[in-house]
Formats: sequence, structure tokens, C-alpha cells
Amino acid sequence: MSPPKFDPVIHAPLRLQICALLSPMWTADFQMLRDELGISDSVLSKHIKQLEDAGYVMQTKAAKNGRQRTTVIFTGKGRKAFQRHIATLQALASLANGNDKAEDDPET
Amino acid sequence: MGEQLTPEAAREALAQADRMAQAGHRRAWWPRWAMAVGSLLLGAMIVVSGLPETRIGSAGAPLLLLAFIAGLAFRMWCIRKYGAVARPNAIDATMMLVLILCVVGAWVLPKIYGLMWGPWVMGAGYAALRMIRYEFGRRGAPAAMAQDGKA
Repeated sequence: MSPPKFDPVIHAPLRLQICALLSPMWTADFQMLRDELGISDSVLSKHIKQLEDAGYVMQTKAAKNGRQRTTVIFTGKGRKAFQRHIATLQALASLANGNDKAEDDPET
Repeated sequence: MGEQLTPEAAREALAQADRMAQAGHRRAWWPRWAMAVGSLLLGAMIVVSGLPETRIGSAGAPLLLLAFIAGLAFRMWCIRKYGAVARPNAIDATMMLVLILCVVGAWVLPKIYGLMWGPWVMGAGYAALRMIRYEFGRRGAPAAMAQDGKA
């Protein structure tokens, strides 16, 4: 398990969703990501670019029959950062669970 | 980032990430029929590569090439159609090793030990093993990220 580390690049809701969607994949098609997230090309492009600038994803573009096809790959660095960020969120959420239990059982 | 991250917000983010990871898992694992076609083509390649010339004549090399091209074209088509490829892991690396062993076995069994059923068993065995691996891999959803939040 990666040590917890909050990552502001991943934390933005859409980028967190993109990373989570990419996590079980080796390669992903840009159009598939767009359809699954239900957002526009430009919004997805913007977020992918930010993840790419951080070194978390890689893009490969191939032109075929006059159309460009973009493939997105989650890098090892991105995977580690995502796992660390998830560990941070889990630690924070379990903190809340601990508080809830303490409130339910005042004797403890 | 000006706003503070609350435990509730963390729970929500985890639940959302979990949903997306499940969706990614569903996308990355292609339908059963696609995996069956790929497995059958690989099995056929193992059989053809191992059959001695007395059994298959001069058709061996063209058949092998045909199965290889068909397999490659089918994989490319699946990647385009389903838009994602599942992340390989240690089991997939082991499966590659098993594939090599099956090819060697399919070649060695009839030619050295005279067991003509060797290539057929190796081909069918590998195809079946690949399907079993697929069933386990597809059902094994990614570990729930939001388990702490859901508790």
C-alpha cells in the first residue's frame, strides 16, 4: 500500500474520476473516456492535459481515414500518485467513522 | 486550494472513484465471445504449429500465418470497438509463459515422443485455460476504494 499523500492535481473531481476510470486499464480510448464521464471533448482535453503535464498520463495520437484517434495511458507515476491520494482520502474517511462510532457509543 | 477537505467530502470522493473504477473494469474486460474467439485462434495456432507435415502437408505455414493475421486483426478491432485494454498483471505474465510451454509441448510431443494428440491437447488446453483466467479476471472487481467511507 502506498503511503498517503494528498495530490491537488488528482483531487479535482473530474480528474479523480478520470484516474479512477483509468486505474484498471492499460490503454483507454479518448472517446470511450468522454462517453463514460459524460463530458465534452474540450473539458476532457483540458483535464487530460493537466494530468499529462504532471506526468500522470501519456497521450498517443494516430490519424486514420482523416480522423484522429487519441489513446490515453495511465503512467506508473500517475498510478502511484492516485493510490497515495486514495489512501489519504481513506484515512480521512476512517477518521470520520471513528468520530461517528464515538458519538454513537459515548462510554468509549 | 482554499477550501478544507472534510471527512464527508473524502467519503463522497471515494465513492465516486469507486464507481468509476468499477466502470473502467467493465470496459476493460471485453465480452466473453470476444475472448472466446481470441482463445480459439490462439489454440488453433498452437495446434497448427505442432502438427507434423505428414498430417497437415504443406498447408501448415499458410494456415499458421492466416491464424496469426486473423488474431492480430481481431485484437485491433476489439481495441477500437471497446476502447480499452485491461491492465496486465502477474497472471497475464504467467499465461505468456504457459503459452510458450504449450507451443513447445505441441512441437515436442508428436515429433519426439510420437504422440499425435499432443498439439490438439495443448491447443485446446491453452484455449480453455485462457477462458478460465478471463472468467476469474472479469468477476474480480477492483478492490473497493470507498470501504472505509461506506462502513
